[in-house]
Amino acid sequence: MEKKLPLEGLKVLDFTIALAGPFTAWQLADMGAEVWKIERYGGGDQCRVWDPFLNDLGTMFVSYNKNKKSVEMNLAAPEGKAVIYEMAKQADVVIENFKSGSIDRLGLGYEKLKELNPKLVFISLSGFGASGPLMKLPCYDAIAEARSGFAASNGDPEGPPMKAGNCIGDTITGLYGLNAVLMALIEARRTGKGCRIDMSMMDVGMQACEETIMDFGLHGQAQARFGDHDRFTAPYGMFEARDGWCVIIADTEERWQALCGALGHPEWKDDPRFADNAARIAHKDDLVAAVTAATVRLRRAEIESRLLAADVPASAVLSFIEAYTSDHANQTELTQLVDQKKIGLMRFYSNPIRFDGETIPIRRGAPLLGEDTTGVLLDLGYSQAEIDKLYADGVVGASLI
Amino acid sequence: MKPLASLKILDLTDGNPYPGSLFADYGAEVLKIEPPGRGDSIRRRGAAANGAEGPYAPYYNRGKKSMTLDLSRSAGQEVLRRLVPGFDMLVANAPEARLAELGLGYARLKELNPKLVYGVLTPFGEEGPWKDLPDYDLLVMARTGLLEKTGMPDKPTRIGPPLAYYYGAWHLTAGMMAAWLDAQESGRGRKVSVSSWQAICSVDDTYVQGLQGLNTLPKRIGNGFPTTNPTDTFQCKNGWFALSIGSDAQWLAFAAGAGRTDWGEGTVYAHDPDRSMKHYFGELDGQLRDYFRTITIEEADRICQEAMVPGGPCNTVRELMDDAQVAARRMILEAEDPVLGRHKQLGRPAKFLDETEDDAEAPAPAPALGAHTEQVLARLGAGDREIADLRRQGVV
Repeated sequence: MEKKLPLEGLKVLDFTIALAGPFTAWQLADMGAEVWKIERYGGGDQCRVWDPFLNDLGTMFVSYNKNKKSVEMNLAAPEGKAVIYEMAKQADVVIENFKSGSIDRLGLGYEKLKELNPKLVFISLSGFGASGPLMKLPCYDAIAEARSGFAASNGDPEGPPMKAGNCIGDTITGLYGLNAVLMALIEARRTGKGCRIDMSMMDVGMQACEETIMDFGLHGQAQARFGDHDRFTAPYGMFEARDGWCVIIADTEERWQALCGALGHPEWKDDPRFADNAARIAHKDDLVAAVTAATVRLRRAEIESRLLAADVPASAVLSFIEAYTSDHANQTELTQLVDQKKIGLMRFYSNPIRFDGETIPIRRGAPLLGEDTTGVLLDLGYSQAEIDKLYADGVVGASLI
Repeated sequence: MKPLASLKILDLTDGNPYPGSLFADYGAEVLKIEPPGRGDSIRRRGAAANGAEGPYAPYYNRGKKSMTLDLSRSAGQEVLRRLVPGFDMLVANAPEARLAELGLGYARLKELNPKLVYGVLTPFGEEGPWKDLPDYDLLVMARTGLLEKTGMPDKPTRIGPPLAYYYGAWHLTAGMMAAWLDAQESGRGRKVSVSSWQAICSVDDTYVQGLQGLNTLPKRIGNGFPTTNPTDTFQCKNGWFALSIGSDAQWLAFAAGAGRTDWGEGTVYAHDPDRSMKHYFGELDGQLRDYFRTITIEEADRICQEAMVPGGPCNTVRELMDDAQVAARRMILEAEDPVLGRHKQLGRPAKFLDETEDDAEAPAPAPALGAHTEQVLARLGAGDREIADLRRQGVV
């Protein structure tokens, strides 16, 4: 018998836009949940029109909204709210990232919806959460990375803090939110009661400070960032190569000795500055300079193969396109081809979670705006005549943009 | 609320505490299975060379239990198999093939417990040409493309925290919880596996899109942003400040708050796309750098807050210690440890708002190596004599 995806049967009412919230909903959809993405009447999720485009559809939008259903709806209309109340009765999860408190003013907040369905798990994702002096302030990824201490954890100690090369503040919050939803579902199964979850990008971003918080607490001070080399072990970090950069990790004495041989510098073994890890940490600048003088003459692939052959962990630092088109990517289903409405065949990343060794199939691309309005209303029990009236009254739509 | 209080998890991970920590932080019983003598290598993170435990073990192992068990010996493997029926999940950061060599493969364990959820976290997956590469977060990051794209144009910058381990672990825990929910209905568990490399690759939000939509490859641009500007980190008199303008309205509000009519309505900077694409790089960006050098981060923060513009200081841990937002969110907690004494730990970011709000509660202490060995063996029904035998043989 074909095994189902684990979340088949789960219904998710999703009001989110942009990135963090849609990430949570996307992951639930990938694992089999039916996600009703409620989109603004006439325009939909703002990220449908964010650069870059293919055939007028934002490519970022399609990446994060696969496997979902789009319902275009006017939430200001009382009839629209009535439809949401019907959905809330049948849903297991509600996800929202409106500006602080807006969903309550719309009459769709947790207090209202839990009267209709006490088992609902209701998650709000925001920059700073539903409490504290910053709660009402606007926040984008870069600000969450800054305020949380994430950016200050990266980069040279003397240089600027450095945000990650993509929107980590959003996706890490979406991923943590996914875990929080599943925890609350586990608890709701036991108790019969749902709950409200309050997730903030700043709180999740503070994960980057997990060790420095302890440093500060124990010593009354802490260095925020340590640059490209490990604080406790040397050599352990990023080194320049002739054609880019490579990572080298010699975290035991055996590996250090092997490294000296593999890079053609047996004399390092007898250098008192490099006698053991404590000495190498104390002379880290000298060590990095010496190793770099050797690596900068070699190509990344040469460094990697010499060191791996000597059992020293090492890797070329690959560019995006090298990783994306690697044999490993192509032999492990990193991506799948999917027929995306309005665009055609596109290559999308597979979900990284595998169940019983199988990659999760992408069942459909991202929906056009309102593509599923009629279908979802029919499933909810509305008659075709009722649905026609909702369309005629401008309560629901199917703009198909 | 401790939403996972009903879950029991066998944690075989070594050097990667994140899956177990997520479960333990929210109430699950997480039993660490550690090699006798040395224990999980995470215990030595940051330790002095003489072999004592490092300072971070009380955080990494908080709320968990510890049992020593030598899984390289058949008697140890047998004890683990006896534990399996009493647990909901097993999690390891080793490929299943290596566990199968120990008689602990999924096929064998699900016979003992059909509902078992069997979680496997690997750096690069269980197949493909990179599957046997060494397991280090930095090495995984090196092969994703994200490390290469982080930093200023002149060179990549290492991301300080172990990002690939976070993403890999948290995808795995999510998959395991989904599989557990299904197992309660279907009676059948699953093997759930995640490659940390794939997890990082798949959160990419601009690289593939740029390739598909513009036929261009990503550039390394520091804290900047290619399209919506100003978005960057600026040096103030006393520290670094991040500004992230997302619309004309935000920009005009910022210009007004800064008292800069030369940036406001009627100037070439007022509206997009001209501001971001024609007049930002090499022009407005320089003016902003000069401007921020004349003010403090506190002034910059006040201007942004009053104008309701996304901006904020690049806090370090020193600022976070006294931050009113951090305090309100209870993101730094006091914890007790027999060796360290009273100390500070990171709080729990998932806030479950119900009548039993308890996220300010101190984390449960971390166990000494093997602290729960006897208790767990006794729960299995092992008598004093059997426990003494296992101990004498060095199995526990």
